[in-house]
Amino acid sequence: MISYGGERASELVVRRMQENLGRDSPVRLFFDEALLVPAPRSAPLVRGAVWPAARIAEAMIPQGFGHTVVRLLERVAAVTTSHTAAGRERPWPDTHRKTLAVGRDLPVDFAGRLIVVDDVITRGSTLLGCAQVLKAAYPDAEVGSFAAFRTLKEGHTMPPDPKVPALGEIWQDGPMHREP
Amino acid sequence: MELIPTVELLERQLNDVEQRYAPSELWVRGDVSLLAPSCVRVSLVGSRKASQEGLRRCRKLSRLLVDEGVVVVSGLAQGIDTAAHRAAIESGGRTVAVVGTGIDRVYPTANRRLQEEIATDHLLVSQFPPGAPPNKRHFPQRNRTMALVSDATVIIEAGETSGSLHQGWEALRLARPLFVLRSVLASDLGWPDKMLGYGARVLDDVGELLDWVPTPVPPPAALAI
Repeated sequence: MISYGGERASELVVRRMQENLGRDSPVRLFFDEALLVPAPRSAPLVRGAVWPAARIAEAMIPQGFGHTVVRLLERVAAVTTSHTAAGRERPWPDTHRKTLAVGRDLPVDFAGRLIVVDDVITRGSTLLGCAQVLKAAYPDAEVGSFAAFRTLKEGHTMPPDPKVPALGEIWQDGPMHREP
Repeated sequence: MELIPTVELLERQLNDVEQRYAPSELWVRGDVSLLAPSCVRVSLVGSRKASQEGLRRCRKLSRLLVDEGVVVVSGLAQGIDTAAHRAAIESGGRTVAVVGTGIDRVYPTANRRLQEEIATDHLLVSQFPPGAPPNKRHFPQRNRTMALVSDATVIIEAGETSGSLHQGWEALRLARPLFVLRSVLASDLGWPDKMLGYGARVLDDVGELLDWVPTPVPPPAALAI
């Protein structure tokens, strides 16, 4: 939907975030002053192509979610797309790590917060792979993640309140599991 | 014959990437509801001088898509395009032809009856004004428009200079799913690997394609026009 509707769809997503979050939600603090880093698509971008994660990130800034969008990450080789692949075919974080390049737009001792922004989270491999690459390039940075949508197994429901996202064991690799 | 704004036909706004090459208006004849968001549309494209095997694969895929309720889109050229339209019609499905001439012109002339049948019972589309003759610059533009109106594109068989490659690159630019048949990989062509490197997928099973196209539901009110 994001790639079809462009900025309007992204704005719709962020408007829903605003509506769903209370004024004092810790999620707002999580984004405070953070630099938003769009997660690359699963393949290198054709020149001028739609980049849904970047659209979402750019729509978040005017609504107070994050300080600036920094396009630090680039996909240099294609990987299987997680949300349509069978479980065993989904890439692991190291697959992402090996196919991502990181820009040196920030000082190497950057110590602020970087939040990887993606459109959809399946098991979290993409976000974790992105976070690992960022953490390796900027070891002093605090790295977090955010996805606008998550896939849900049949019968599962969304928890009523979003939780502050946490990467947990950032260097985890291998098959991933996400709850809920 | 009618001239209708593209956003009215698609019943949604276009994003800036789509707007770059999208014609603002389209000439149409036939059932314009085939371009509505409630229809899933897949383009089948490929060579004018396709092999017999390529034509067979195209007909089979067209029939399978029709069985799944998908509208088959193609360009009414010789070869793969003709096979895609005919198979869709013969199996009781719906089809959209996006032509590279004026909507009142026929190219190739061998498809006169097929074009009339599509305009009467299905949908014929052109971005070029009535009377516009065949022009080699028009066909890549037509292919971009086909990518725009399609939820996914499948390249059945194509040489290095095939016009259908324009559509493949445009589908990738628009972030629409692009598939190539596995049989194409067996050739020594360079374009399949290049496109796979930018996110095209190898198609083995029509089910994989259906996983990638949107569920046919109306867009949210905020996106509708």
